[in-house]
This record gives sequence, C-alpha cells and structure tokens, in this order.
Amino acid sequence: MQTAHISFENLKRGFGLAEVLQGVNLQVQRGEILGLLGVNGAGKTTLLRCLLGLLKPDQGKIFFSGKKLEAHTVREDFGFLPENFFPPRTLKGADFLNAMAWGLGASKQEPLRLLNLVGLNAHLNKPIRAYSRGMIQRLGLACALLRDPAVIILDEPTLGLDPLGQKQMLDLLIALNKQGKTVFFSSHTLSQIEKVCTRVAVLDKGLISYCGPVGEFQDKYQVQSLEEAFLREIAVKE
Amino acid sequence: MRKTLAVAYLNFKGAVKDNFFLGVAFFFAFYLAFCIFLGKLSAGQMSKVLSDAGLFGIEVTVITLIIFSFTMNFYRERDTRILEVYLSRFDRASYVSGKILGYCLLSLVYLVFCAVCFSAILGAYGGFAWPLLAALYPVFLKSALIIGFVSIFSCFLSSATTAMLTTFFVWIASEFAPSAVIITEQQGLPWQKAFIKGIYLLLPNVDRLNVKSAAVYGQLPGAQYFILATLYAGAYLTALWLINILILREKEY
Repeated sequence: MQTAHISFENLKRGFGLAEVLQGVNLQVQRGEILGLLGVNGAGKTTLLRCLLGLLKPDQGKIFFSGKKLEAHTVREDFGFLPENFFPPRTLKGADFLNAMAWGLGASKQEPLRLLNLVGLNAHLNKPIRAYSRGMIQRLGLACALLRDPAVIILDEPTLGLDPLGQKQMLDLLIALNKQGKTVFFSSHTLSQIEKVCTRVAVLDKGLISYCGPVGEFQDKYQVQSLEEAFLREIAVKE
Repeated sequence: MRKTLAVAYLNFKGAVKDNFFLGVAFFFAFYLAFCIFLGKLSAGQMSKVLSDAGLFGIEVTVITLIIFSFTMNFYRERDTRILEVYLSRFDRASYVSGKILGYCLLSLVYLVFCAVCFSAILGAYGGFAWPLLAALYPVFLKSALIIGFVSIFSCFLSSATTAMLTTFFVWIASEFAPSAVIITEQQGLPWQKAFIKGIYLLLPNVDRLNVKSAAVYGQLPGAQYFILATLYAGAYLTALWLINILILREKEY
C-alpha cells in the first residue's frame, strides 16, 4: 500500500476551553489535490497551521512521507499561501520575490520563471500596493513555489477574488498538480473544490466526517452537487 | 546567513520606503529650523544651542522612528499573515536576527541623513565640529539596544500599542534610572538603594552612552570609551537577541 504523503493521526488542538481539533485523522496522497471543506470556524486554518508548525498540537502526530514531520521538512518541502496574504506594500513585486528567492537559495532565474508562470511578468516593477487582490494572490503563489516544494498548502486561496481571478488561481493549481505537486487547500467555496479536487475532506466540529472522491460523496446522499452533499453531511451531524 | 540577510533587506527596504520614515525625516528638518530660531534667541551661544538641541533632536527622532516603525511593521506582518510565510520558510532565529539587523540598518541610514542635515546647518552658522558627529555613534548604539527591546515586546505582547508603550517606558526608565540611583544613594533606605541599583543594572545603562554634552563642549572621550561602549552595547544586544529567539520559539504564530 502506498504511504500517504501527509498523514494526520489523532490531532487535537484547543484554544482555552474550546477544542477546535478533536482528533483529526486524515491522509493526503502524493500528487493529489485534496480540498478541505468546512464552515467558518470548523478548524481548517488551525489544521493547516498545525501542519506548518505555526501551532503546536495538544495531542497527535503529523507524518510526511512516513516520517514524523520536522520543522526543516516544512521549510524545504512545503510552500504556503495564507488567507489574506499581503507582502510589504512599498516593495515592488520583483523585489519581494527576488529577496525571498535569494534568502531561500533559489537560482537567479527562478523568480522570473515563477512570475511568468503566474502571469505577473508585465507587473514586475509595480509597487505591491498597486496590485489587485488577484495579482497579490498570484504573487503569493509564486512565493510559495520558490525552490520547487513538493507540497503546496493554500488557505482559502480564492477568498476575495473576482470570478476571473478565481479561475486563474484554480487553473494554476491544476497546472501545478499536473507537474506532480501535492496540493492541499482549504475553502468553503464548494463550487471551486468540485472543479479541481481529486478528493475532498469535510472538517466538521473538529473531526473529519468524510474523506474521499467528490463523486462518492455525492453518491452517499444521492445528490447532484457537492454543495448539497456537504449540507447533508453537516445536517446529519447536527 | 542568507535567510537573515533576506529578512533584513525586506524589512529595511519596506521601512525606508514607508511614509512614516519620510514623516520623521521631514519632522527632523523642521525641528532643525526651530533650533536655528532657538539659537538666535540665545545671545552669543548660537552654535552651542544649535549643537545641543540638534543632537537631542536626532536621538529622540531616531528612537521614535524605530519604535513606531518596528511595531507597526511587525503587527502589520501578523495581520497580513506574511509573518506565517516567513516563519514557514525561514527558521525563527533567522527571522529575528534579520529583523533586528534590518532596523539597525534603518537607524544607521536615518542617522547618516540627520548627520548630513545637521552638519550643513552647523556649517552655515559656523558651529561645525567633528566631535559632534562622533557623538552620534553612541546614539546609534542606544538605538540598537532599543531595537532589541522593541523586538522582544513585539514578539511577546499581543497588542501593538502595548508593545510601543512598554518600549517607550523602558527607554524613559533607562534615561532616568541614573538620577534615581543618585537620589536613593543620598537619602534612601538600604532596600531602596539595592532595589533601584538592581533596576539600573538590569536596564541598559544609557547614561554611559551619552556624550552629547561633552561633544558640544569639545570634551569628547578617547577611543577607549568608544571601544568599551561598543562592547557593552554588543553584549547587551546579544542577550536581548537570545531572549527574543527563546520567546519567538515558544510563541505560536
């Protein structure tokens, strides 16, 4: 059996009296796009932040390629785009990416290649404060792709984007996945998840209530859309 | 080291292009104009008043600049979640070191700008003297220590206002601690003397980094003083840096 690329085992994390993650068990397979679904406050960001080492779990373990996840592995193998990402606004897009690339030891050509990939090559020398929300997200994705990480983690990557910006972002994720990258992202915009994800995981009240292919999830409730299936899944637990 | 330098560059460039930096620089230019006016009011002491008030203004503005700029930048990084990007790609020690280094560089650039303006004004009024510029070096060391404190408080406290006020408090307490030691030595109880002396030793001894008045009167200490001041500031800043790394390692962002 193939070892999961990322594996969460009984992950628990609380804030004060509120137990946000109550024992999450989840496997992200190599080379898939896994969408993490959940309503606001379900614990999606908490789970991603635990994965990135930004939060310490109260209990449970995270494995990467069968080994316990270490901080240096996150820095070397993971690229991360947070929700509402906004780099220093006085800098130019190219300055920001060049500095990050230099700090990470990437090649000199890599920032330009990535800016081309995300379609920002015409806006290299604009200050970031002049960028639209969609351009900032694409710059963030270029930053996450520096040094060619094996896993791309995105927290609500299309939040605040117009339909065109959403499409561009999702197309980029599909293109990256075709290059063999594992993509793990959270969203509560179900129509997008339906379009791009190999599998979905539903996080509800701190637990994974469903994890599997989108089609099977719809079949489970005999419905035509992911949205309906998701609402049924939440309602079952209610 | 590359990671530290990258964070330093991003912080320095971001801060130097920020409106706040330009605002403080303009304020300093207006303050110098006010110093000329003060000098004209003091009969026969134009150059001394100008030198003294100018050095005081440089010190106050550089410390205000770094406290405000650092805290605003750090909490903006937290709110815009760029901090999470940095911490997921760079180790925490590199991040803290880069931030401190970037702001030390900002302080240095601001001091060079002030030194140029100050020298031009003094030159125009016939009061220029090299010791006045040498007196800016201890001001830089003092600002580096304040950068260490503002970095600790920013990492430790959840509110930008609290971090700013706490750093200002530490700076003001450091400035007044020597006077408190003198007062308690003369009329305090033994426990009061020990308590105030303890606080004085714990806080940065900024009185040892103050040669402004001596420079105005042409009595600048020798090279040995500058070496010892550098060693003291270096050792103190290293201790602050280590504490800062420990705090950031325990902090969840």
